[in-house]
Amino acid sequence: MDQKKAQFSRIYDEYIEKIYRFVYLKVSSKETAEDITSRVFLSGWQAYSSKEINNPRAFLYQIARNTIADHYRGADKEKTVPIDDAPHIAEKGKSIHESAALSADIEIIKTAILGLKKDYQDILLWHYLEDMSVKEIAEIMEKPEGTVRVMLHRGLKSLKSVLEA
Amino acid sequence: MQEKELISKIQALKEIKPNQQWVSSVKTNILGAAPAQETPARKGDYVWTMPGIISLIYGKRKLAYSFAVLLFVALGVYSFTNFYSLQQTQVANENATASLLALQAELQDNMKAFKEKSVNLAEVVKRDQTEKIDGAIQEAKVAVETLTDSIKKDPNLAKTVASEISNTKTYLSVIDDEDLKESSDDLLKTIDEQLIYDLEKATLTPDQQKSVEGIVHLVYEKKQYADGLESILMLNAELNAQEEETTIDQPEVKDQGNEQLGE
Repeated sequence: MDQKKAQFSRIYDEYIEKIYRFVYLKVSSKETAEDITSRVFLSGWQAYSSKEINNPRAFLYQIARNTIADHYRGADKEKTVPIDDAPHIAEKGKSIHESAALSADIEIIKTAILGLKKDYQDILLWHYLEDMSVKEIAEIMEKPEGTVRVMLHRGLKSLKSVLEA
Repeated sequence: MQEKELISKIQALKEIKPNQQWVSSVKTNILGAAPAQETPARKGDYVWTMPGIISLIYGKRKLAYSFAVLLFVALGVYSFTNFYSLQQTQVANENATASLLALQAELQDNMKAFKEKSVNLAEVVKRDQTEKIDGAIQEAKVAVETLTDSIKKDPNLAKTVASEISNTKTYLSVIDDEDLKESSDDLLKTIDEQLIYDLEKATLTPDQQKSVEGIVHLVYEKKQYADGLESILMLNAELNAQEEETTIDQPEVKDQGNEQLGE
């Protein structure tokens, strides 16, 4: 069990930031993102401690997708966004003005991505933000690589038209 | 807008990072071990050496002491603020974990009550204890409704009790009571819906996909929830067997996982 714990600890360190970012971009508040992300890793650890997981990244993203879907299906679906809930971006080496401008940019792109179809959102974030290959995405989505490539192209096109609208 | 510009906008989202205190706190809560931290410097060393260093640089002992005190106070305030915020985060996460465990415990209790009341009803009917039948029906109905509420609170738990429910439901069919049937149908429908949702997300062969379509028809069109549950359990058993076969056929699975971890 100690070995499993040590392995999962490494998985946690490697993916916590990525999963949090993925979740944060899909929900409307930092608190919700934290809550969902901790649920993802709690479920991940419960499953990991009892069985072998071949691909932790695919496994965690799959749990994240399901947990986000459960969140939107559930009664606790958020209706409002806290006023003070600006994105908490890393501000190292940036002035307040630069941070504010960056924060605004992030909000714009986040809103635009949220306006896309769910599958397009996931594919764009995984490929361009988390540098996942088409093959890895195809495995997570359980779709042929060709389909993922087409969706990637269409997703980018849709994002472009949303941002230019 | 050029494609490159669009991609760089998406990549700017990398600036989003979680709060590091929260990250450590969640890890501690999940894995139960204290997060790795650097060994803090001893206060004694810190207070005694700082004025010396500063006075060496500036040659002004008073200024050096004042600066050291100011630094010490600032560090104290900073540590207190961090400690308070960490405490708050830890409490929130402990509450979330505790509430999940409480839901699981509540479900198990309600499952136990459901089994007891169902068996009791079957026995009362079998012994023909007519004076006890109304009470037994009422108790079984309450147990069914409480269990349904438990599952609705966290539908992910449905899978853990589906098989037991399917085995127990037959006790309820010993008597033809409209209210009890309605409650029982609601319970089975709740379970069926969640399990169908899980199946729709699973990787299925074309035949299994066809079976799911049949189950969907049975549950949503024909409203035959008990038959639907049995079909779902059969399909789940097939999927589990298939998964076990895959695991046996691929002994190197563990190594692949470790390679992933080592990346």
